[in-house]
Amino acid sequence: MSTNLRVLLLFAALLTAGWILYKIRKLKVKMEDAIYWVVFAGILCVMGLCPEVTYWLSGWIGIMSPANFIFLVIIFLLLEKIFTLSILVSQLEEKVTVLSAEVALRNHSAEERLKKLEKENEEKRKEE
Amino acid sequence: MKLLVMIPAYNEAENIEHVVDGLTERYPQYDYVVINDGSTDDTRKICALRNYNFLDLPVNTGLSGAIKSGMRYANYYGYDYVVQLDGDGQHDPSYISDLFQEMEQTGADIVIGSRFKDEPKPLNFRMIGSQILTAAIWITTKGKYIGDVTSGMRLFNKKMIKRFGYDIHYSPEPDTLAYLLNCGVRITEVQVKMHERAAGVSYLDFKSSVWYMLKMLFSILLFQWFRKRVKG
Repeated sequence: MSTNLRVLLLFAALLTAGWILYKIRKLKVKMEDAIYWVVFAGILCVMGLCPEVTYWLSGWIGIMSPANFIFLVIIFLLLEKIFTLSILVSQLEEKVTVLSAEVALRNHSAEERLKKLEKENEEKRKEE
Repeated sequence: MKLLVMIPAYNEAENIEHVVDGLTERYPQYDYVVINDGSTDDTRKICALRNYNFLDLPVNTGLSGAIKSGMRYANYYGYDYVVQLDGDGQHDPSYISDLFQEMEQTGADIVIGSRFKDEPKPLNFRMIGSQILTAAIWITTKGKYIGDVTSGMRLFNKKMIKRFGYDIHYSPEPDTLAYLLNCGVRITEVQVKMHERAAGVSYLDFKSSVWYMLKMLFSILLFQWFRKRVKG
């Protein structure tokens, strides 16, 4: 592993962690959603700081170049994120559907009640 | 002074009548609002039939979403104090006056109805988790002790109502307590007894408790140092 690659990894880790913590400070992201990115930065950090771990793991899997192993890890982590995000988007879509249905329904029932009241008032006035 | 009793309820059809009737019969002087957090059982029907004062959230938003709605309700109608009672009947409304007295005497911003202020914690899985969070708060706040960090029985003053209603990070969880203590907000505890829940299952099931602990520890030990400190 070249020194440049290690420096790059550390830089990426620092940037990821710094960015997400800044977003927390600015109230732009929920803290529970930031955990993933902090762990992500932590893994990049470990791979950059201790190349022995990367060498050992890539040897164990049977990948010649540790750089390839690093790509693999990052791809795996990003895939996991896409997977969970995709599920989350589905759930959110469903929630929006239910939400709009409920808003329409409740509006409708409120308007019906209003119409009924107006009718009753009118009839009362006519009787008088 | 205006005090609101806020009762978050998610699938509490079996308990909600008992809780609300117990409150309105014995303590008619308190205003209350039930927050039906998108329940899939008959909670909404019961609230409507019995003419309870309730907010009906169309979808489930989780406990922190329910609390946020309640806090916004309190702010909208100009309440000075909000006390949270769980919809499962664990909390006895007779302690509300104790919590309030404590707030007046000590000038605290949040008073927690605590099972473990004077009494020791029993030794079981859940309480070990609770003790870890107590320790995390103790370490990060330079020795401030909160015995019952997960207690759902809390009294908030007006300042806290605004914060809990309008800030993305203010969950009704222990990490917020740690952060607030570091902001100089005063939090005290009052010893209370809680009932076993009458029926149904708790908001926090065992499966999600590992994730819960992870969230709390990350938040208390790491994230709170990066949040803006709004002085209490």
